[in-house]
Amino acid sequence: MKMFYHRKFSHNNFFYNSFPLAIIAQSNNDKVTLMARLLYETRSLPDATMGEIKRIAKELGKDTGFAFVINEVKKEQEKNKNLHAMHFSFSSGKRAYTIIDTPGYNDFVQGMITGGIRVRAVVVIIDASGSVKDQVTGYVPLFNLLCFENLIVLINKMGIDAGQTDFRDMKQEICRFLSHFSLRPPVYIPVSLEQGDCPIKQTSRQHWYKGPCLLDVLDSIQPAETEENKPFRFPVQDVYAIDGKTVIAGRIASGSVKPGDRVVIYPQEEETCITEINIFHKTKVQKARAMENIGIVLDKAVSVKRGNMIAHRNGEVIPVTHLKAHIYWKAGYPLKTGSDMTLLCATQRVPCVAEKIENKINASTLEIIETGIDTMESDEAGIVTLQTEYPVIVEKLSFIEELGRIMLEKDNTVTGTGFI
Amino acid sequence: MDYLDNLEQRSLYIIREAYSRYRNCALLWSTGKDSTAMLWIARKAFLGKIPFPVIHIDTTYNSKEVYTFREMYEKEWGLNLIIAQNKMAIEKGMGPECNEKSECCEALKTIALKKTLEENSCNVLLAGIRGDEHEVLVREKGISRQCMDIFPDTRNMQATILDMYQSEIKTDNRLRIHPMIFWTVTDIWHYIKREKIPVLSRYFAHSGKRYKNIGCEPCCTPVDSTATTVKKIIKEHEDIRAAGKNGKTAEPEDAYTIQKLKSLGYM
Repeated sequence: MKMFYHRKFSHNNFFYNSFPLAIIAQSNNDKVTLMARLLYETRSLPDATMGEIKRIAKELGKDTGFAFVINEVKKEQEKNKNLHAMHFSFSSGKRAYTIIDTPGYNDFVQGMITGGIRVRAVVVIIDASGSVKDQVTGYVPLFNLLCFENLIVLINKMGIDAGQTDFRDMKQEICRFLSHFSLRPPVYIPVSLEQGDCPIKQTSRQHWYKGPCLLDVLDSIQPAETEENKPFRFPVQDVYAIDGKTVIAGRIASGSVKPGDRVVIYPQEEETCITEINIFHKTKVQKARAMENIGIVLDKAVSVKRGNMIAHRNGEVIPVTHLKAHIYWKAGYPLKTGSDMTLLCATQRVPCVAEKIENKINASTLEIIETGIDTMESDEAGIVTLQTEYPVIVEKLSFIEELGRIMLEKDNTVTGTGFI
Repeated sequence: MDYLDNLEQRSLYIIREAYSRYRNCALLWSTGKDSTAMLWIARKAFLGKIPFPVIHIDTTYNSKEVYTFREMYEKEWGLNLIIAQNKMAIEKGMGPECNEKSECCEALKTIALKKTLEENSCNVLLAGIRGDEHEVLVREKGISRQCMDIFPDTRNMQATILDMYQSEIKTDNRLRIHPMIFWTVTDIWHYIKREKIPVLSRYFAHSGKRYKNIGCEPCCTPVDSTATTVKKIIKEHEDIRAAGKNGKTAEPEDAYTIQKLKSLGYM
């Protein structure tokens, strides 16, 4: 993996705790300028680069430092253009961030749908000197398909004479385009990336703007709710016979569990009780939490197999046979309505049929495709209704991630991936 | 759950998933730090008893300590250990000193491994390869989701989302699974420190030199180092990495890594 490193970002600890974000802009120059601003002004560059900036600034004047960073970011992009994503890391002082930069929309859409890329915030740069309508409507399919959690709109290049009224008018214009979608209302910030107004700090040039800067907005986004506080879901991965006991192995997708809890096994809906939780090297485990791989022992011999789901009694589990999923199709041949496949979700595996293709876009150009809606070509993404042969337990991606991601398979080859 | 727990739990899930889906698995153990860490996690996955064989490729050129270490932990951890050896080539005198290194590696590692997998009907091989070992591996897939959201291979994603792998067994009829692909060398050392995992003493500096890899003696060269403890090794790796401008791997691309990858059919 390639990334712009800072001394403290030397291992996975940084990524585990960092906040992932993406930047979308029509022009790569705007994107690079913002990335360079964030890296440069937060002093999040590698020691060697910082040394080089000081040297150049001394020789050529202090404004050259920022230009040098822009150049470095571009060089890094160029060098790694064959990768699907690059990572630029910076720290605001309050929190560490990773900017996930993809060479094109295709990589971004595919990464977001497959889970290869996960971002908690998306920063969209709108160029005020261009057509706002064209830019916003261009992004709408993307917003609609990927359901971003936190959207921040930067209105760039508003001009030296622009003021409060211009900003308000532009904000209203963008709001109008976005109002058709059930998005969480974005935050709007007027910026001048070239001059450095507002990505990181307020400047006197933009004295009329009293709102927060980009970095303030990012820092104010609450950490994601942990899976532990959600209802208990345990997809059964395997069943082991250990020392005469039947141990049900799996990873807790969400929630937590204790010995003595009453649980129901789905789809057979058989009720039982957990007598023991097994974790190697730990005795008398009192509680196990989301993302832990455990083994559980039940109080009676029930028939449990891979693909079953265990949840608490009254755990609000709704098995479904119809589901609407956001799909990225990558089979090399078209997906047609009526095609039969296998749906995989966590450890569940069930035959299914593509009942209806609701809408679709070209993932490279983001163009909405309205014709031939009964087929989806390779590299197209869209919303598809699937009908399963027997009930499955899925959840919205935003609710329980592990049960919100799906994969489609045909003849043991993955043909598409998606989320609910 | 801290970041090491998170890495451990992801690797553990992949190991269980491999066994659950394919059953005829085998785990490759060189006695080096990465595969020992993987073995440690595999023991956790199956609550102490790994239900499939552990293969050690024995070229007969390993150091004495490797054999002592292997025997000690084979017993202590109750492993079903299989020694993969190309006896015919060894008898004919194959060795790095009198043959081309690639030829020797092919005979003593690749052929030995293939033969052992065939004899034991193992189609699925768990290898403790890390993604930062070599550029080739940046594109390696068939692993798990996430990789901390940073593993960049989604373009040719025939394979993976979440922790679901490609179901298809590769054309050579074998599937390699890499539970440790998203670990960095620093992560491995942090984990070894936390879990107190036994490692060979050759990793620590003696008279200003230490080994970074454990392989055939003639092919491994010690590096200058004063790191006599795990803590000092971690510091050494972090310093190397911080000195680099970008995220280039902390370990040099040495003959050992190339050999290891060759024997697994990468190059």
